[in-house]
Amino acid sequence: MTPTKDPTSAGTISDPKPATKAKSRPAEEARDGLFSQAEPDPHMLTAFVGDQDEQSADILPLTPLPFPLPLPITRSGKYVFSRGIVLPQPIPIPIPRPIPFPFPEPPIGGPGRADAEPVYDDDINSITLYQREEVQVDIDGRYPQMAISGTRSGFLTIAAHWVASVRRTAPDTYEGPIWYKDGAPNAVAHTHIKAVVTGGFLPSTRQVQITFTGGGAAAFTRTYAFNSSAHRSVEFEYDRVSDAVAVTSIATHAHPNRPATVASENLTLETVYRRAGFSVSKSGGDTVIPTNVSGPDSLWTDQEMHDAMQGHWSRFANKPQWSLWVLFARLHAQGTNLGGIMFDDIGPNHRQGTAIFSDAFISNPPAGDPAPAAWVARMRFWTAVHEMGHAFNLAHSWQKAASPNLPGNPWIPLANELEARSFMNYPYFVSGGETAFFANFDYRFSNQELLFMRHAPSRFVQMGNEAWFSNHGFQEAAQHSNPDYELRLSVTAPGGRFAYLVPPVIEAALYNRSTRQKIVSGERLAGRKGLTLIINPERGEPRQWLPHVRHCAEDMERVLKPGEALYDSIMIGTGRNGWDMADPGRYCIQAVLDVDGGPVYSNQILVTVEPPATREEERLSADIFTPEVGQVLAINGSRTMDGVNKVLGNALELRQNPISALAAATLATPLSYTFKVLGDGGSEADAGGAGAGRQIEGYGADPQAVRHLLSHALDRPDDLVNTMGQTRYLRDAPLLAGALTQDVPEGIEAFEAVADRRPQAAASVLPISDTLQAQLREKAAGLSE
Amino acid sequence: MTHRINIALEEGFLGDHVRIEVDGRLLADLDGVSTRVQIGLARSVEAEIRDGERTLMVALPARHLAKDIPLGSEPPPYVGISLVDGGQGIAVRTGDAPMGYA
Repeated sequence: MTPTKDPTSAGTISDPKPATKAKSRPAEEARDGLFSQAEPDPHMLTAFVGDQDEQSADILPLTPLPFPLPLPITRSGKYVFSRGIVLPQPIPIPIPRPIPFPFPEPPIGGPGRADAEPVYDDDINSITLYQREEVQVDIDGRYPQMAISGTRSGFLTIAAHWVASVRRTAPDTYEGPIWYKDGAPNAVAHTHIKAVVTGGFLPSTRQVQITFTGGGAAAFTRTYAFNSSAHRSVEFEYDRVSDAVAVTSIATHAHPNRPATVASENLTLETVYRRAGFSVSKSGGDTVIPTNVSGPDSLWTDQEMHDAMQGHWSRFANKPQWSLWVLFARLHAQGTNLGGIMFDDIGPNHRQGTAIFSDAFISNPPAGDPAPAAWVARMRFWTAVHEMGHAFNLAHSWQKAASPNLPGNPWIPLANELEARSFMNYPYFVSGGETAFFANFDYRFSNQELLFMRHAPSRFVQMGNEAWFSNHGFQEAAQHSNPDYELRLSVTAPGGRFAYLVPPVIEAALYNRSTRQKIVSGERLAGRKGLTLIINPERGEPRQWLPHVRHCAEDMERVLKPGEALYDSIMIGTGRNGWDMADPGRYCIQAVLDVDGGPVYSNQILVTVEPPATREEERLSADIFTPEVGQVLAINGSRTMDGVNKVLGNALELRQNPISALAAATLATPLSYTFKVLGDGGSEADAGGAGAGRQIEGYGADPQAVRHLLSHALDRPDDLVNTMGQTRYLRDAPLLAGALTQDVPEGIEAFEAVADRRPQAAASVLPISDTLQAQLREKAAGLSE
Repeated sequence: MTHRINIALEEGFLGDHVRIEVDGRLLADLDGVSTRVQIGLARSVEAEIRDGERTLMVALPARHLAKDIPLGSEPPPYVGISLVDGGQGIAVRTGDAPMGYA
């Protein structure tokens, strides 16, 4: 049968109505910590925007205006640069491009640059690697992600992709680190950008000038011309089986359960994706597919839908393209419990087709619903956007984080968003269920999802390109962990967030998950050769953490009963490689430990390092982030490294930052006992050659200094313990306790492992909370040595 | 009298062998159970619970995982089973209405 064009019918396939102009509404509020606040730009102009295209209107923020003025201008969008070689005619030989020369202006700040370093007018580091660059500027408009990303390409292929997080540092100026790179490493050598975005209501006047610095590469500045207010383009095509209902738009105020801030509009599928940053068009060819099949045979299988896509979709091709087919059908063969599916994980080109089933559970409003028809329309609309989101390679909100039990991987370490009011979450999964979801739902995607759709490498997002669920995230983890054990990593910092300057510490526990007693090595987990710990930053390559110290000792065995654990704190922020986590951003951490000759894989945890909160923190960072300071923090202090101790002394002044407490503890610990120093012997050394006169000198404990230093941490004692690491605190507690009571331990007693003394000492040194005391008591029994 | 029950194996399954029993009576023995992540569902099993049968048991022998699910005198008609904590645990949800997937 020949498909026929579908005449306009209410609530079904039709040419989408023009998107309504965005109406005034209060600025969005941060909700559940998932959505960033729109940053008002005091320099935003209001002017006639007759030249604004429909795309622009869809992405403008809904900010309140006192009287009906024309819409404000946004400058987010796509900007391009193309390095062309102009050949004067009729000379047939190519003219070599002039060697870039540095600007005469004063050098621009940025990490890794000396003041006298020049700034070039082209990327001399990789001038042969690409000819064209597109940047996505995402700093205003609807749901700005405060990100700028770039794709560098040669004549035929993409060379590299980068993403930077930015904040506004001056009018029209946005700066920040490049935290993600993909492709040829030397095609994106820099680590920092400064972007100046200029231009007015005429798009042709807009441009962005970006200066790239850092990474040990020659800095350069490049100017990009405005290309589009959308980041990417996509086209949709809708087909409907004649026995199904299609919902491609809804009236947002039709159902009374909604946020007060949702504008009243006829919201279309295209508008939802325009607001996500796409230029959306219809590929045309919307059809109704007649069916004369009824009953069980009218149910659709995935293979049948895939075949239908090939036959009915006007754009079908076995290749990646920014084009998507949507089928509205009645029911899937699975039954009424399947509301829709991105069925296209078949064949070589995934994610080109989706289907929505109008007679599934989404057509059954709950009993007593005040507007059942509107409820059904909303659920069908939600399902359509949701399934289309899978075609963009978006995972469900609860599937974002990598897991050994997921077949694919996120493009960057992601966190699950269980309470997200996003199209990618099930409304009935959140606390309070579907009613709570829609009471708080703004018909949008989460910031993680918008960042992905706008800024991830295009192949991860584009239909028919990257395989489904691959690089929605992470490395595939098909390891088979020894089931008798569990290696659990956790952080005590709330939300896994660490202040700038503080080296993140994770708490590790090796549990016996078998039903039998196990004999394991009692060696410290952090120092074991069999421990491999990987730090995977969002903005760089994964690296292996290497401890400053490994303890070589006679094999100590410990008995672990079922359910018992060995514990250790691991200061992963600093190691033999230096400061692996100095840069603000997110990091995914995972470890594997060799136990009984087999690997035990840990869970993955997400850790965030905050950006500097004050200028003082920025100023001190250069002193803190040195190998020497990292070493001293890791080994609990030094009496002889005066330079380091001076830096730690300065850190004491940052009272609002936990580094102050950590510095106090690090300075206090070596003062808690008689500390041996290899001295140069004074005049006796002058008389002889090398080594002459050197002798061990003992410096006594200084309890008064210990007390004074620890007073820095008395207002937040739990924070100090967690910043040090709970097991490290347990090990040091007897020393500190002894110093405070002037019962200074000597010799081996100072370091004797006495499990039952530690909790008492820990509680006596600092006024820690009962909860923390209980945790420490449990860990004291299972300290790895 | 029997009670009809729908048992949905949902998130976290990756080529798993799953056994489902009620009071020791085998209801299903499934191989190669894998979650289709785009809908969050691997497999559904319809079964009959007889009067007096009180405990549903789901086991993944290769993972050394098992969980007992008390059914009570009126078994819930819908049970959803997911693997959590990186495959180290089993989570259960029950309901009176069909579970929906999309």
